Amino acid sequence: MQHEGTYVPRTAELVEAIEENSMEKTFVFELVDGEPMPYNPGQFMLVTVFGAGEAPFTLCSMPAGDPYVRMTVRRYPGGEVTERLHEMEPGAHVGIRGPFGNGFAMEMMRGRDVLVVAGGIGMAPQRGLIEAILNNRDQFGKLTVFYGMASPEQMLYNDLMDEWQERDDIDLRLTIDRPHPDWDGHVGLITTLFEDIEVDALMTSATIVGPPVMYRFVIMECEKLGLSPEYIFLSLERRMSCGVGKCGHCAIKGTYVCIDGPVFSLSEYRRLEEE
Amino acid sequence: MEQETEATEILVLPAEKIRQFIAMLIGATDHFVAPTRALHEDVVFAEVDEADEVELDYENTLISPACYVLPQREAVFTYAMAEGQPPEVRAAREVESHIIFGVRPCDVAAIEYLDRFFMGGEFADDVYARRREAKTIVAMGCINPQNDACWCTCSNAGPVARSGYDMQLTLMDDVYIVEVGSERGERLAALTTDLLDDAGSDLLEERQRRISEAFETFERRGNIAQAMRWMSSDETPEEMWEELGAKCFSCGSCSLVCPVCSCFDTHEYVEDGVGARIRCWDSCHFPGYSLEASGFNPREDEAERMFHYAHHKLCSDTFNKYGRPGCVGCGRCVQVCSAQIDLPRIAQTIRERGWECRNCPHQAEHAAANVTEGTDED
Repeated sequence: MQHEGTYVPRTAELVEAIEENSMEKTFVFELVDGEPMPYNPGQFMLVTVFGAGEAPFTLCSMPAGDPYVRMTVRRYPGGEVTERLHEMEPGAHVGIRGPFGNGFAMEMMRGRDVLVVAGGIGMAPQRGLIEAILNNRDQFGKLTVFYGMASPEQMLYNDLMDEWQERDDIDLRLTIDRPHPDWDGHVGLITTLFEDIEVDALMTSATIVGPPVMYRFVIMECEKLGLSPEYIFLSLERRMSCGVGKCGHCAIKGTYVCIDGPVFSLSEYRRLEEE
Repeated sequence: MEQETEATEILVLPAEKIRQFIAMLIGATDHFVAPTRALHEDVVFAEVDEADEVELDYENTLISPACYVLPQREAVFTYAMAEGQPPEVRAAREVESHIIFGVRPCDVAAIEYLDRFFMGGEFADDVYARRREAKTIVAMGCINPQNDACWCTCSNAGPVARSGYDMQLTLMDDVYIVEVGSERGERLAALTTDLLDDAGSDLLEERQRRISEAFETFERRGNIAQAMRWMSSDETPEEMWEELGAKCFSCGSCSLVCPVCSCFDTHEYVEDGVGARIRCWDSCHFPGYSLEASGFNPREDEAERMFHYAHHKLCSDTFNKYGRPGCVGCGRCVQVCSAQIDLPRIAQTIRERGWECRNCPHQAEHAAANVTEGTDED
């Protein structure tokens, strides 16, 4: 997988930086050595901004035959890597290592209905999952996507959302936390979307990615629907300095989010909860 | 307790020839590291050129010689940056070869643990492996504790090493018993063969007897086996971690001197267009250890970090993966912790308080078991 060694990144060139909103950009990179870097939905890469450092980002999309590596990254003031990334112009170079982690367990969704719950930038890692389902549509049952954000201007992938709204093989439901003059859709926390859904509990898998505060409440809603903890999946984020289970930062009770995760079933996640 | 050695060959070296022996080893390597007197008479592991500089009567050093396999700072790769060009990235490949002389058995066990951790598992750490491959370890068995913080007999790491060394010396009266543990050790023995004799069976029996006796001379600190059972049960009381966490200053000293602790952080250093990714020691007690750029910190309180630290050291998972607890009983944390919540004290607290778990249906049984097990010998 690695060319030079465990920690040596491959060099990639920034092809395009798409401004999604005031905080987030989607970066499209091309590897300088020209060799593809295939990855699965839910996996992540470690991106080196030379001179600033390295940080983990999940991959957001993987169109068939796409030679590029795509990541949506939020800019955090004071976060050296994300700030420098956001300043980069096409032609700039970064280092990329990966892909790392398990990604979503597609075999636990195939033949079943899928409920995708995305809060904020949690849509980024799940976009690839949704695309993978749409590309193999006959292998999956009903596809429902809940996507919540604080306000409308924070929405990612606007064109794609419009496209998904038009399709009849994906049920996309959007919500914003508080009323907004430019919004005539559903208003309320993402949990309020659960008030109006009917699921075949035994035949449904759910995936949840969002800000840390969201998990507890969305998990409760999923359990209220009767979904099994074996079929509820969460992607965890942790600080990481290696991606290969050595630096220690992402360890939780002997489990490493970087190699054993980042996607865990709810039953695995419960075992990881600390005292 | 009988100790079995994995030595392939056992020899003796007359004690008066030890300096000659060391001089021959110095001649056999580019870099010879040994315990030596530094400023203020402190003994440290450092490079020496002359056999006379080597200290033979020494307490274990504050910084473990494990720092020669996992240094406090090291470059994992470097890169040259030029405007408009892709940076030229180079893996750090040059490592110095060392003979490390006088490594105490606790540190031998620690290096063995690090070997399993870094070179095993799903991904091998090539930076560690390359450095480790260039080190030859000449251990110095202890027989008696070096100071009152030593507790290797409780953590199954001493008082003499059973594996993990290339050669091990143990002083018995007027001779060193020399155990050869690897092909590299064989080469060192061949090199010094004029100084070495075969060990008689009497001498080996005497050594075995002294090792058995040595178990009585070590401080019985904590009780790792019992603490490990509690730690693995997932039933330790939250209040206990809060109390331990309240005492901790989060200074990280315990993990920085711990030869088993291997967590690292990475930083960038750039000077005159040449950059380096540096990895350096980190501690899970630092508040910033798990702090993410977003401001989210999954272990904001020291109580949570204390649980994580103790769990990693003492859970059965660590034992199952790496063949030993995450502690080698070197006693360094005992020496440095100003809050007096070193690992033996944590283990002792877990043993005494483990049964106070909330919602545990077996409280009464635990309490009874703790009373009987609290005084036993395990």
